Amino acid sequence: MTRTLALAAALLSAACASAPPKPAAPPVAAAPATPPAPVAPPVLETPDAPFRAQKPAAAPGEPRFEAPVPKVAALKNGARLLVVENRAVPLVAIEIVLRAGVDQEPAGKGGLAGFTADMLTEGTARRPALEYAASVEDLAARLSATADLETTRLRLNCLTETLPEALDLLAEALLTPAFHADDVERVRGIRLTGLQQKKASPPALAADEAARIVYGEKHPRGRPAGGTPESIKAITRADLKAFHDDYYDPGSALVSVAGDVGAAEVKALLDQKLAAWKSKRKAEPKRPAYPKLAARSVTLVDKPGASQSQVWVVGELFPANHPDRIPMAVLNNVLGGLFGSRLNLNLRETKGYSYGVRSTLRLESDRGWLAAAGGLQAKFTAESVTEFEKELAGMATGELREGELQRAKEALIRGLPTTLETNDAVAGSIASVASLGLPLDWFAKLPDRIAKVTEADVARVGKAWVRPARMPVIVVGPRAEVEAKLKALELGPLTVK
Amino acid sequence: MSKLGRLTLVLGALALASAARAADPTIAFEKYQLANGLTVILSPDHRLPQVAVNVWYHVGAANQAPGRSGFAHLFEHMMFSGSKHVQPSPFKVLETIGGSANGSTSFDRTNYYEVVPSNELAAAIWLESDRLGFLLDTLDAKKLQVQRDVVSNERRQSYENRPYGLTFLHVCDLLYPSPHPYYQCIIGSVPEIQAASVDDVKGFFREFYGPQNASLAIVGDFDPAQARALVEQYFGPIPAGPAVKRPSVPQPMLTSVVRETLEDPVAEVPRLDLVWNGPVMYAEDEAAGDVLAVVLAGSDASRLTRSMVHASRVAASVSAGSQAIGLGGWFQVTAVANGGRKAGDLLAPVQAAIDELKKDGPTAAEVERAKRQFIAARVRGVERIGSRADQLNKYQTYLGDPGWLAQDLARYRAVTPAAVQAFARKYLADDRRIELTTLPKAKVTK
Repeated sequence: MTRTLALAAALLSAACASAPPKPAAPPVAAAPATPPAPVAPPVLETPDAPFRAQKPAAAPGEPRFEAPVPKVAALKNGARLLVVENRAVPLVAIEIVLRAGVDQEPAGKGGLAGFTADMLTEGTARRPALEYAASVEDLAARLSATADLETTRLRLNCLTETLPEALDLLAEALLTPAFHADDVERVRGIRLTGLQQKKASPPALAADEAARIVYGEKHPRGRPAGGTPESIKAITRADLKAFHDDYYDPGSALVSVAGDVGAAEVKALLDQKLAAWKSKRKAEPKRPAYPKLAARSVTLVDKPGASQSQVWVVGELFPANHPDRIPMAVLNNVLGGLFGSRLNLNLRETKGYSYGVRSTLRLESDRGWLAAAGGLQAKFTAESVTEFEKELAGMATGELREGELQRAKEALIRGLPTTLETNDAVAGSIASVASLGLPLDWFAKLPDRIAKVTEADVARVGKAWVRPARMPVIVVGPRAEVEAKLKALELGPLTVK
Repeated sequence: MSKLGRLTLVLGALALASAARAADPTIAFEKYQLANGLTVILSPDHRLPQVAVNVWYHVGAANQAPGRSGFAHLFEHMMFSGSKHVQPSPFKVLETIGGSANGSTSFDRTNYYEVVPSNELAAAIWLESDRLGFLLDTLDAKKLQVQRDVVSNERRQSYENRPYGLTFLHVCDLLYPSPHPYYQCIIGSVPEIQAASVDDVKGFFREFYGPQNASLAIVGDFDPAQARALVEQYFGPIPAGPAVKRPSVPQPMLTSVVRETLEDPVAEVPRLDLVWNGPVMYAEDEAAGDVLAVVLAGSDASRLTRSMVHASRVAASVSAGSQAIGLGGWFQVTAVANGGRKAGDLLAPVQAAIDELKKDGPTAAEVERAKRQFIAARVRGVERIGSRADQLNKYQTYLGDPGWLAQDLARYRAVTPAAVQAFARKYLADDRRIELTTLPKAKVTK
C-alpha cells in the first residue's frame, strides 16, 4: 500500500493539492509549528453580470417522477404482500409490519411491544444470540426489529444473491425467537439503563408529556415511551412469549418488498420460508377513548441547570386518511415543516434563540396531532413560547404571505423523489401507506393532489384545525429560570413536574 | 423508478462483500478543471429526475487561527446567509423549487450541497457560484451576530444539553490542547464563537474560499454538455485566490496516562472512554484501525459486546472507532455502564480484550466479518446521488482522484489479522492514553 502512504504524505505536506496543473505533488518542507501571521492576500473581485441578477429559469419540460406503486398479492398464510421491483441495485429491502404495537400492551406492561421486538434478534430456536448476530453479519445483511404505537416492524436489507439465506434468518427471528431466560434478563437490563438515560434527554421527556396529554394517561399510547422501570421489571418471559404468540399474526400482517426481485419470485420464497407462520386471530384488547384537547395548559418539567428548554406546543388533528391531510401538510410547510418556515425563520434566524424549530404532523390510523417543537435558549423560554403562540395564531387566520403557498407545495411535490430514493425508503413508505389504510397508489397520486391545493384550502384548514387556545404547551427546562415568566404569560393552568 | 439503469458500482462491490472475487467496482465520472482552478466532476445517473450539486472546500477546523475555535463552522453558516444575488438565503430559493440543501464542517474540509429537480440544475449552480463569487457584498455585522447566536444554540443543543456531548469536546481538548486548531472539536467554545468579527469572516473567505481550493461534483439526471456550459458561465469568471497552504501542525502526542473525571449535568449513567493518538487519514494502516474497531466493539458480535454486554453485563453498550483525520487522529473505545454498575467496573474488561488482541490478534473469521460489514456499508452509502457526489468529492479533495473507490475497497479487502494486531500494538499503548470517566453530576437539591 505504498500508494496510500504517498498520498497521505502529500496530503500532509503539499502546498496546494488542487493548484493547476497538478502532478503528483512532491513533498515540500513542512510549515513551522506556529505559522507566521499570514500576509493579507490581494482582493480579487468577481465581475458582476446581468445573468446573475436572478435565478435562472428552469429547463423546459417537467421532470417526470414515476412514483412506486406496489404489486399486490397474498401469501398462503394470509399476509398481504406488496412488491416494488427495482433492478437498479442488487439489493432487496423487506419490511414486515405486524399489528403488534404499544396499542396491544396490557396495563402495567408498558414497553412490552418494544421488549418483544428486541428479543427477536437475541437468539432463536436454532442459534444463540451471538451466533445469530454473527450469521447476519456474515451475509453483510442488516436485520432489525422495532415497535411503534400501532405496529412492530422487522426490516431486512440484503444482497439479492443472499436473499434465500437472509430470509432463513428473518424467518427464524419472526417465528422462533427463543426468549431464553438469560437473554431476557440481559435485554431487560439494557432497557432499564436506556430508561435511566432517557431522563437526560429533554426531547424524549417532552415527547412523553405530549403523548400523555394527547392520548390520555390511561391509554397505552399515553404512557411513557418504552415503559417505566416498574413496567419493564414487571414483564415476564411468559408475557413476551404471549405477546409474540398473540399478535405476530400473518392475518393482519403486511410484507413490503422493494428491490432487485420480482413479485412472483419473492412470493414463492416467502411462502416457502414462512410456511410455519399460521394465523390465530387473537382479539384486540379494549382501549380507552382519547381525550379531547379542549383547553390550553402549560406543563413544566424541571431540568435544573439546562442551558436550553425544549418547548412543544401540541394540537389535535385527524386520522391519516382524513381528506384535510393534504392541505394541512401544505399549511405545515408554511408553519414549520421547512428551514424557511415561519417558526424557524423567526426563532432561529431573526431572534437567534434556537438552532432550529420545526412543526410536524403525526397522523396515525385513528388519531392525529400537530407538534411544533424545538430547543430554545433557557433565558428566552417565555419569549419563545410567545413567538410560538404568535405563529400559530397567524396560521389560524389562514392568511398567507407572498410565495409561501408555492414554496410549501413545491417542497412537498419535488421533494418526493428524494424521500423514495433507496429500497429501504420505498419498502418502508409503502408499508406505512398500507398500514395506515391509504390507497396503494398514494405516492403516484400525491403530486397532483398537492398541486390542487389553493390558498383558500389552507385558510380553511387553518381555521378548522389550528386553535392555539386549545393547544397545550410543554416546557422541559430549568424551572428556577423560566417558571415566573411562563406564569406571567397567563396561557392557562401551569403544572410543574 | 422512471429510468431503469443498473449501477455497476454497487453490483461489483457488494458481490465482493459477500463472495470474495469480482471485478473492481467503478463510478463512471469525468473530471476536468476550469482555468481558475475549480475541479469539476460530472457523473450522470438518470434513475431519478433529480440532480445533486455538491461543493467541497479544502478548509476546515484545521485552518482556524488560535483563539478562533468554531470559526470554520461559523463561516459555513454565513454561506447560508445570502449573497449578492441570492436573497435572503439559498434555502428560500431551494424550497421554492422543491430542493433540499445543507452544509457541514469537518476537521479538514467544508461541504455545501443541494439536491434539486433535474430541470433546476442551473439554479443550484447559480446559487453555489454566487456565494463563492459574491458572499462579502451583503455580509454585515447583523447577519454575523444572528449566526453567532445560532451556532451558540447549536452548541447548547448538540453538546451541552445532550448526554456525553461535553465528553466528546473534552476528548478533543485533551488530544488537541489550545491553540491547536482542533481544540473544541469543530463546534468551538461559545466565547470564541462570539469573538468572531466581520473582518475575520472576510479574511477567512479571501484566504480559503477560492475556486482553486474547491471541487464541484454534479451527480444525477443531467446532460454533461449542458452542465459544462453552465459551470463555465457561472464559475468561470470567479478569479482564483491565493494558493492555500495546508496546515502542518504537529500532532500533540500523549506521553502518559491522562486520567480525568468529568461531571456531566445531563448524563444519567457513568461512562468510560479510552482514547489513544491515531493515524492521519488515508495512512497505510487506517483500514486496519477501522477493522480493529469493529472486531473490538463495533458490531453485535464483537469481543466487547460478548464479554461486557452478554457475559459479565457490566456495560449496556460498547463502541469503538478510529477517527483518522488530517492533522493526526484518534482511536476511541467507549463503554456505558449497565444497571447501577460503576465506571470503575469498565476498565478491566476493555483492557483484557485489548491485551488479548495485542497478544494473539483477531481470528481470520472476525476480520472477514468486519471487512464485509465495512465494505457493504461503504457501498450502501453511495446508493443515493447526494452521498455519491459527496464520496467523489471526498476522494478528489484528499487524494486528487474521484475514482478511488475501488482502491478504497481494496485496502479493506487487504487487511489481515496480523495487520489488525500490529495496529493494536502500535497505537493502543497502555501507558500513553486518555482514561476519561464521565459521571452524572450530583443533582442540585432545592
